[in-house]
Amino acid sequence: MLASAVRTYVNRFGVAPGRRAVVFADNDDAFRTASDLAHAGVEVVALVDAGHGPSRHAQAAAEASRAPYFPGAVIERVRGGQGIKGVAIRDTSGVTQHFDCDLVAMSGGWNPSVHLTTHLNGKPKWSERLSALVPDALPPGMSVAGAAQGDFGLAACLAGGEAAGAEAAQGCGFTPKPSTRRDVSDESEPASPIWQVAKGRGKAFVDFQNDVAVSDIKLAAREGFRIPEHLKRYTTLGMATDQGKTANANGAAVLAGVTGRYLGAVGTTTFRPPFTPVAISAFAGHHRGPDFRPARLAPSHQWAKEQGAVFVETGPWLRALYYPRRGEEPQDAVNREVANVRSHVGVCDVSTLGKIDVQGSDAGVFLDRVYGNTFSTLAVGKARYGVMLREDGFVLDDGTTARLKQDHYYVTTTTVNAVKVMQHLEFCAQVLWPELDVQMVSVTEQWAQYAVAGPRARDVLQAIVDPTYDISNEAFPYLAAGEVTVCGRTPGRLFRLSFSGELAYEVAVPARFGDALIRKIVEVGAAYGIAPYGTEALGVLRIEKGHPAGGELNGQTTAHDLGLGKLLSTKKDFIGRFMAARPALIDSSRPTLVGLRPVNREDRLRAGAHLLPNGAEATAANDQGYVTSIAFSPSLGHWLALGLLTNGPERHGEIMRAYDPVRGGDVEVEICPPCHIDPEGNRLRV
Amino acid sequence: VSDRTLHPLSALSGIAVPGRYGKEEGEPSVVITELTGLGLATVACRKGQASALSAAVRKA
Repeated sequence: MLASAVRTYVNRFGVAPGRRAVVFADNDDAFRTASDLAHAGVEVVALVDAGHGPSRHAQAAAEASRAPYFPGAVIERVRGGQGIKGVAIRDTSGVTQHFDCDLVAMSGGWNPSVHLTTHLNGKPKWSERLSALVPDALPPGMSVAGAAQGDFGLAACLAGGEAAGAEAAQGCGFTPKPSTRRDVSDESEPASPIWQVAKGRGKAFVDFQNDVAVSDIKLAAREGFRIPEHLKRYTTLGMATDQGKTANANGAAVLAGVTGRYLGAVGTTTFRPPFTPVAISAFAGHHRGPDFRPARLAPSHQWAKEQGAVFVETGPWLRALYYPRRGEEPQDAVNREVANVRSHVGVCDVSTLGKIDVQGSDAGVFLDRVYGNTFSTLAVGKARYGVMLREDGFVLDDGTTARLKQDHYYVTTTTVNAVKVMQHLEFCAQVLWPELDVQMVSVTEQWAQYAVAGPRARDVLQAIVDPTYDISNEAFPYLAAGEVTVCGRTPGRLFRLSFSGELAYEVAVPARFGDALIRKIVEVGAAYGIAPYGTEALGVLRIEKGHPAGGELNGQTTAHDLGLGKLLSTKKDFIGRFMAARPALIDSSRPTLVGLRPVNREDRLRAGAHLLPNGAEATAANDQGYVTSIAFSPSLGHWLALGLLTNGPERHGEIMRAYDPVRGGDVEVEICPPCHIDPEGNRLRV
Repeated sequence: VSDRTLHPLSALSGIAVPGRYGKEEGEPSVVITELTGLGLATVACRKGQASALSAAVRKA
């Protein structure tokens, strides 16, 4: 191990790299390692000084560490396989002694860090005094001082640093102040280089990172790779992260010796920074675990936390998954929340849905081009469900868009795709159709929005929306939308939308009023049996209604696959229209959305299960589709699922196998329409 | 309903807790105070109205 590395382990990390150490070096600085090891309680069994004459620094270190001192000696052999067991030390008289040890700290002196200068095309020169490369002609604007310049002693470092600082100050138009001389002495003398041990036994490594040995360099020279750049490519000497930091001077010296050249004339490779390893965690910073990215909190978060909600990550947001009551198991809580929406009324924070304000005289035309269906014909005060395709014809996203004014639309996206859709719309507006008068801005975090769903939803909303607004079914029917005021003139927006299939509204207020509004809704809703519901219940409600969501909007499905083909207009052009008409995408045998229910109502369904003909062997050839979403339906008392099945709509009533080899599931399921609750949609229109 | 008014709540509520942090004596290391009464608005202009918007912003 390098002597400096041993010191780092001992002094910085408090780690003893061994219990019995030998220090082998040719320079004074390295002998400090012996003192430091001894000070840390590590036994130093020998101090081998390969220098040309006895060094007072080495002698002092030997005394401090109470180790025998061998001036002018070398280690000729190291014993051990997986670790070091001992060394053979040959002294000046040629006598060899053996010592048991488990650590060898070695050093051939310091190399100036020339990498920054050579990276900018500076050429280093060989210093005979230091036996090292030092910066020579520097790139414009660069000064080098201290050890990087080859000044290893403290006095020289201080003087060099002062001179460089004065020069920099002068260059900036200042007059440098006279220096205050410090009385310091240099701690060490330059090394007496030893490039390799003569008559050493065993393999002698030069490059410890790339395992390049002296024998490799000799072979390279025999093969004609006599220039350092060629030697590097042939042997990997000095490659990769350390950039020859510890190996290149030794390697060049060995090459010079083998080829009979002056070391200073051998040349160098181009050293590049950085050669000090940077921990990956330094790049990652604090972006780890729960801090990987900041969680976005919904406007009702604080209130939901007070209710004991269990949260789940959805995209960048934390959303309430369910609101367990004392003693309730998670499934019980979800069942209760779903049942409460179907029987009374529930409230759910839907603020995380992407919200985009689209304005301009061409806003309608713009939306016609990005949506498969038509929005320019949408009446002011109305909302419409829309589906957006990618260029390749697959579904990008879905959501509802409301027309608030003639030239003002309010687009909603799924939570997860909010950013993607915003980028897509910006690209369309700025690049594809810059001639259109349309502007848009994300208002996702500007509005707090709550879904209030269930037969008593209107009762609750009538106590929230100011009485000047008529929200009766006649005045504000299904898919109505408009600006209102709530709770005494707080500006808001109201939408008659339903994801659950029940009578439902979504009410929005500026985000800063979101906390107050959820508290108010629950307060006034208590009389009608209101209970909050989380994303788990939201998922159950939509599966009961057969609405596609994340499991189905998976980037591989078309509008036809999802039963939304009729939404795509045949009277206008829109993004994805042409590619969606490719034969493969309109093939009737494509897996298409279906509903699934277990034949044995006690059976549990699993998402991801493969759909096989009943009685057919479980082979890839028999695989005809898969289960995309599952839920236990408290409304029906059994598990339900949505899936994608070849020729799905033609197979209602067929019994199939839902085969789940991963979890050992194999149940019979009946194929049915996706919508299990109120297929006529009567409940949401009351 | 007794009080129908909605009271605004800062988005930083519960996250940035106002107060003095750091060492207990001498100059405090960090003091967190929420600045209220400031508004931030995104103002976008209709096509061809950039100069009108600039004029309006300057006037405001």
